[in-house]
Amino acid sequence: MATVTQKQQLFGHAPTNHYLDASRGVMSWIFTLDHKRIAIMYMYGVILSLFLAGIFALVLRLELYTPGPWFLTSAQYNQMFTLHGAVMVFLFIIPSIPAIIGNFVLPMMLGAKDVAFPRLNLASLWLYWAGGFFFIVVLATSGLDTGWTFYTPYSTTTSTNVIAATLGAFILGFSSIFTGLNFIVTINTMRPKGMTWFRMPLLLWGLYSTSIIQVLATPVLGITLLLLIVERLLKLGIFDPAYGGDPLLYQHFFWFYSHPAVYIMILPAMGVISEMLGVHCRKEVFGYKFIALSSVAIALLGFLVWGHHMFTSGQSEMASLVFSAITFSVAVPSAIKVFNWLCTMYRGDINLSTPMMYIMSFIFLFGIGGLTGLWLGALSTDIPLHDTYFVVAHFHYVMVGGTMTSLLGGLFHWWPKMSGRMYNEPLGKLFCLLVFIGFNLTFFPQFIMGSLGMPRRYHEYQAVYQIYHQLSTIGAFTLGIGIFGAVMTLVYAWFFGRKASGNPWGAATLEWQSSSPPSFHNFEHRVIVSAPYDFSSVVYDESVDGYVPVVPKREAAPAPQPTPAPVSN
Amino acid sequence: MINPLQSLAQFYLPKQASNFAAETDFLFNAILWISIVSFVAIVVVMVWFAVIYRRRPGYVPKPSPSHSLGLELLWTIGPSLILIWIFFEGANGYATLKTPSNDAEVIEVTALQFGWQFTYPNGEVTDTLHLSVNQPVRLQMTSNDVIHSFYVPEFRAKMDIMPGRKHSMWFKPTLIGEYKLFCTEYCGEGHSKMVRDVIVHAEPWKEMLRKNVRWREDQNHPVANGHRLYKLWCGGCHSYDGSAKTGPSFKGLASLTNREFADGSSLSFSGSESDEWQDYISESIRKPDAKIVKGYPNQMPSFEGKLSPEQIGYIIRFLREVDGGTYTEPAKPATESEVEAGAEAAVAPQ
Amino acid sequence: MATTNVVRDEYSELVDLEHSHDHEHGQFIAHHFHSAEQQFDSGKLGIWLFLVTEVLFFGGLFVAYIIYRYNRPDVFIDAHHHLDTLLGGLNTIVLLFSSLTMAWGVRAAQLGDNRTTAISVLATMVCAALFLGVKAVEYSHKWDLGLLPGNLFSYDPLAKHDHALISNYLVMLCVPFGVLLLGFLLGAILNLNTGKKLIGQFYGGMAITMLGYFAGVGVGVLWMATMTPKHDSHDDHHAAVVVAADAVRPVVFSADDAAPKVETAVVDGAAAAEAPAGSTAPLDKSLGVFFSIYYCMTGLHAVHIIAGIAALAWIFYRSLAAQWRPDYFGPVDFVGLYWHLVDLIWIYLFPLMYLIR
Repeated sequence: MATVTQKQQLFGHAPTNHYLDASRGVMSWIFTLDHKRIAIMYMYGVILSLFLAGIFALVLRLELYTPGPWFLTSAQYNQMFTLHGAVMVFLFIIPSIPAIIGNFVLPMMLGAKDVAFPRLNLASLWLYWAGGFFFIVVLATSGLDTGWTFYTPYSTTTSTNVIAATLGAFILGFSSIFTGLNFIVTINTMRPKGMTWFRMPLLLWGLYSTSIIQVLATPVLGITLLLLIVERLLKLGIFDPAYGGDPLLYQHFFWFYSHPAVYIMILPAMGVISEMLGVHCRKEVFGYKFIALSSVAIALLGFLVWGHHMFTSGQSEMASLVFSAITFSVAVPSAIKVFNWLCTMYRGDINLSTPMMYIMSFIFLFGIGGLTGLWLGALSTDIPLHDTYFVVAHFHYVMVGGTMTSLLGGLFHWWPKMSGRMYNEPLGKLFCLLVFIGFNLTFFPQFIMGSLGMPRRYHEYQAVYQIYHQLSTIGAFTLGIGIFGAVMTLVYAWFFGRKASGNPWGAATLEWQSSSPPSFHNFEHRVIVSAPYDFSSVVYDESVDGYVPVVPKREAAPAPQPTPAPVSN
Repeated sequence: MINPLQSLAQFYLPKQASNFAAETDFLFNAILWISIVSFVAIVVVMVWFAVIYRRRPGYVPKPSPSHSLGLELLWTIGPSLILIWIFFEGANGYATLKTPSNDAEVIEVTALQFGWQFTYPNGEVTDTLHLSVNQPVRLQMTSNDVIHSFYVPEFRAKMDIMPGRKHSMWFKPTLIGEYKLFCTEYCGEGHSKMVRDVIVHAEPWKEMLRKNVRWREDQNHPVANGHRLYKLWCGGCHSYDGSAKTGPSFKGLASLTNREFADGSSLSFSGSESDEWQDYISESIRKPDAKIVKGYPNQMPSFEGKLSPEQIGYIIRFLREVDGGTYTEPAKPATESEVEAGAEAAVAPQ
Repeated sequence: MATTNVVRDEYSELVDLEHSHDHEHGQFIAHHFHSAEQQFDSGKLGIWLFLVTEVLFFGGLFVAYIIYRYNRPDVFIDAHHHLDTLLGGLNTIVLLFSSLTMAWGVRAAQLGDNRTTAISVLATMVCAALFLGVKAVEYSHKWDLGLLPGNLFSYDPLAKHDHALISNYLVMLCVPFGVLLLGFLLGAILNLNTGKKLIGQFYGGMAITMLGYFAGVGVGVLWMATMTPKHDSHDDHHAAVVVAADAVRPVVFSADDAAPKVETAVVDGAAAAEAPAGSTAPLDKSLGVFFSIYYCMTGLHAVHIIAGIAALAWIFYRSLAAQWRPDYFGPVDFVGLYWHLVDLIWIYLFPLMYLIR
């Protein structure tokens, strides 16, 4: 056997006893309290949901290739778009980054062994499964055709299985609340000595802001969906006008959650981008405090803008004016982030890796997504654009172009840590490019047909819009191939990739001080807390094929001692 | 705005056919150019940086600052000022949208799954919207069932219609032509079929109303009355040519001998003149949830009080007419006896 | 590893011996916490955040309440006369008392006095069950009268309400608690006889808790019984109202049977005679919306009470097992906070529902 230095053992590829090997059998996964395994299991569910809802999307796009009905009936089409939206929102995007990357990385960034409440973490995973189960029940029974928003009174009168779907969403809401609660407590109480609030990695700021929203907004969705279920069962008369209720109240309740939920989706993505950008530009992130605080600002302002979904709903004019004004104020912190990211690249040492490609792709797509929000925030231009494909394109640019892009980028970035293997760089870049092209081809034409007046959720449409729909359909399949390829690149790397060192990117945050993959207790040694983007604290070391921390020299070396074998208890 | 830009705009904006269109489009284009400039700047800088500062052998990055209060203030205040301007422009346009002109004529609009009814001041009801150019109109809108939304892209106007509430919107059509009216709030299976024509006539309002003489049910053939009522009330969900829609087709309904229901029960009929059949049809219109046809959802709202007994009678006559799946306009003018027959059928016992 | 030639280098001092220091950790400190203090702080922050979500959860219902009350104040005034203020008040006092015993229990746990903690927690559970018992009487009585939510609302003020004192609904609501009572009693007797003191005491305590439920039912039914003759003896509601006009309590209760307009007049202090005796037109269905909100809010609150009893039972068991120490009492504290919140929500519900003016 070759000579193994302690350095190699600590910062190289873990020789034995990493978290994936620590115990075996299905039960050791289902009942695990290890945040890393929970993250991996979330990943299975989230990626599966992405594929399922993605297939729904492709079916929709194919059907829309022709203006008239093709191979779907209107009822089937309505079910498809509803399930596409509901599965994507509740099972894919909301859990995606916090549940996978957050669960895996957050405790390690704090140098901790686990999140504050490991059992609650497992409970939230189980709730995620339970919620997913209800969506399977929906698929297996009469389906769902209300749109993911469950607007009353359609949702209280339709014959499809609204109760199972809302129950599923209700349960998923609690999964989300528990994750958020866990993250807040973990960040508050488990930061290591020396890590002050403003020495936290930016991903933690993003996740912290997200968690605040999860804890404060999701309960309102919970009670709304509960009331909707009871309304359907007992005809309560709270939301259904036929029994004295008010559908506008439902919309207020719903968007009070669902607009902040948009920030549940995008804030972690921004955190991932900020985090990766520093590492791959090997430069301190520009305007750290502004990026950090803008996340909090977005989280708080995000609670005050829900009414911009309802400009045409007949809410009072004063309300519309106020909501419009506050909506514009949210744009400012988002702009601050983009400019700071650009300045981070200035005079950087830019590693044009796959994650960096995803970062640039994110800035491009989020730029379009954010700017098109200006039309929708301004009252007079929103009126004709509301509920058209313009809106569809806008939120896909933010949600898919933003969140999904950064999720993929983040997975590529942390894959060496999660799997202990490096992915294939050329393939990673190829599929990133395919995702980028496919995405733009899918959704850019939708802006044009939207501003030309094409309403959303239409099974049949006027022939004048056909060319845009055709482009969009072609793009959707390109995008589908891109995403599938990217995921397959990762899967291939998991099994056959080159072994990764503990810190292949030269990142300065604490999770990279573990071996790849980390051991059951995350760290084999005391972590050295430095500033998160002080890249002089790590140096490249040939012998481990990665970066190792610079340890301050001490005069008196401790007495020689036998290497402690990694302990698994 | 300069001409080339305007001709460019036709690729991404519909025709300007109302008083709001020019103002809204001005803001639309202003945001467009602001966005293009800032977006191109961002992307060019990003790509440029990625190229010149890429990691490569022999490249040593120069030190650079990691924060700058001046820059932060610049890109906080700069965009804020632009955003404030956009907000005020948008609010301005919105104010126009919400301030009806004094000489607006009122049209009552009823939205229902899946169609529209427009009631004019002279009492006429149509399923397409007729307007006069340069005549401001105010739409008083109600919904019969779920939420719908009135949208004509060329007018840049849109308003949701919620059941249990009255909604009102106004606009002034400024361009003669035919446009499409869309429902933009998802309302069920036939949502994408809730598209109707909007015709802006050159004739002044009064003349247009005079032309659209009110439909007199007592002077029309009962079957024609039934056909008109079918178009206004039933056609959104029921076909008469056998094609699939939300509800069962009317083809073969009059010659039906047996009907099976979702709860397992069934009814037999001995022809469309029989009391059982007429009762069944009448009940299905008034209390649709009493008997649900097997294989169909319980989705039809009650039309109790919305259709008179006479009108239900006309619909029954129409059903007999379209039993074979086709409808032919009754050629001869209505006779007294036929009118009476229609009214008789209407008073079907409960 | 045996063949590995270990080279000591500058990283050796990073090697953490933490893994072998588990002995430092007390019995109840989870492996990922450094200290009992960190664990307690985490738990405390966690429970506070959970309470925030609870407040927001109920917040949605309070908003619905405010909006509907603002839209139809008359309906709310009318409808609330169907609620029994005395029973509601009794429940308020019971819950307030349970907060006291809970606080007492927390203090005792902080001092490591497990016996007092056990007794206080048991008292809290008994109060909680008593509350549920009274609530069961209230609910079943309303169901008998047809005071149901939304579209199910079928109350007819003209109809004779000669309902039985112990209605079928009440029996149904009592069955699960009866089964639990028998089960716990059996468990207690068996375990105490076989010398399993801890589990036996636990079952005994739980049986007492279930008895608390029946005590609540008893009090409720007794109160109904004292009121019922008054109903039956007055065929003429008008007379009933006039007779009771100066005694506020009976009027509010007899409102169950009286026409709303009549009682409103009385409660508002207007001359009862002004309301025509025959003004007993069936109530507007919109009263159903009030009861929708009433059942949603009190029902959700009752679910929280039940969850609270489960949590308290866990604390009770651990108190019996003498697990609290001055440096480890977090769970008592956390469940206590939860319990105070449940009380607090009732403190808001009671005036909003029962005491509307």
